[in-house]
Amino acid sequence: MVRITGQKKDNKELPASGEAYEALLMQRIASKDREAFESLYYDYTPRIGSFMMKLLKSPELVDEAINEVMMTVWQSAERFDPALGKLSTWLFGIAHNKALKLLERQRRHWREQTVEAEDSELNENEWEEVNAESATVDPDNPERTVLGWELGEILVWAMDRLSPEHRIVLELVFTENYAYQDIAIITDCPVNTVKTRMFHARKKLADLLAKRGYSPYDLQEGHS
Amino acid sequence: MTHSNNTEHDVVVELLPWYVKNTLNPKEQMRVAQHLSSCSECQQELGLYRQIDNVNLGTSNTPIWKPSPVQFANILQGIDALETKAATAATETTKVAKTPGLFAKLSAWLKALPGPVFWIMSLETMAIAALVMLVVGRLPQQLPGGQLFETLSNERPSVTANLPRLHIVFAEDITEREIRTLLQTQQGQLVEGPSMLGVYTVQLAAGGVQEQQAIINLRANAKVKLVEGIAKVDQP
Ligand SMILES: [Zn+2]
Repeated sequence: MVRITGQKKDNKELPASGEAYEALLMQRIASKDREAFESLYYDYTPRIGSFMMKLLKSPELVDEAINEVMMTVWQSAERFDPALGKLSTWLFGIAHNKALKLLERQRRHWREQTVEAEDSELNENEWEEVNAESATVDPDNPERTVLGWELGEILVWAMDRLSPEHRIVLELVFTENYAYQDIAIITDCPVNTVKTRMFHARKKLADLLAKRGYSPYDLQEGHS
Repeated sequence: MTHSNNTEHDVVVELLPWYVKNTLNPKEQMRVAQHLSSCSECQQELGLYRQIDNVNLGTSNTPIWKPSPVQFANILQGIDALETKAATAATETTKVAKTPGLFAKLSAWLKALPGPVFWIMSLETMAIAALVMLVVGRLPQQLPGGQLFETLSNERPSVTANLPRLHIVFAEDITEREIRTLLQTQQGQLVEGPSMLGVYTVQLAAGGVQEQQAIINLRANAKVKLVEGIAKVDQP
């Protein structure tokens, strides 16, 4: 950020991109510049929005989450430190919190629906079970049962049944291409937790596949 | 399935997802490649992660989310609401802080004033306090909506030394709109308040309604409990 003044003394325009651009943009937002805030909205929310769509699957929920993310940005723009990472990583950290909250709300809602009359209390480990059962028949397409699915589809199906934390780490690694160090920043945990969480997510995935009669290693042998 | 070095395997097996995505640093990338050449278990794991990666990239059936001007307008509206609320909260905090030590605060404030001003101000304050007690019968309630002051003045109002000012106490059930109308008809502007006694200070516009006339007009309104002119205090 100091670099900008050195490089572009006479130019008060934002630099086109990079660390300097991000630092200036956030400085302007911190000083309540609504134009800068608008730039950030159009430039950075598409990626965050798609990430959230994959997790939440509902445009209304994503709108809600993006609203909250933008509010947080407006209120705490001065906390962004370009030395600690890219702006997108910082934004993903905020988005991650909101998405996690909404996913957990969705999860409670599903649980209530699934176990309505039953008086049973579910614990963490039963989350996958309940959802595995409830999702055996695709609600949008009742004819199409899981058993008839292709292996690729069953993997997608299984990913959707993972706990929010596991689902998120998979998305961050495989869709967003984040290094584990970045994921540690985004999810606000130690790097070792990130690695372990990813490893557990993969194990859960294998368990879910096994329940449907697939060995995870079937996947690599040219099926699908 | 056998690996001579358990620790090395444990480290590498956890790095495999990032190895697939090529997001490890070069040193780690090499370390994984080296271990992979001799560990069948890791080779198998790697295959699984490659599959996850392919499937994940292939799921383009998720609808795309796009930003919209409507949403951005909503966000700005939310911010406006939030900022008004924050301003109100600040006003509330000041009020709360004042409430407990009413007389302590009052006397501290009076003592802090320079000599001559002290006497004029203290008389004025005591007088208005007495009047408030008389009219309302008790120390006034918190006036309707702490945000009144904020919403009725767009910018920080400035007190102009030689413009006439009035102390005013509104009825409990007065609405913000009624206050706005009331002040507009008298060309007055809220410049201060509510005080700990629920008193607002209204400044009349230069060349507008005369002070005495404004007092009469305001007193005629049923929603106004009390109106008093403020004696001008010359700058020392
Ligand atoms: Zn190994």
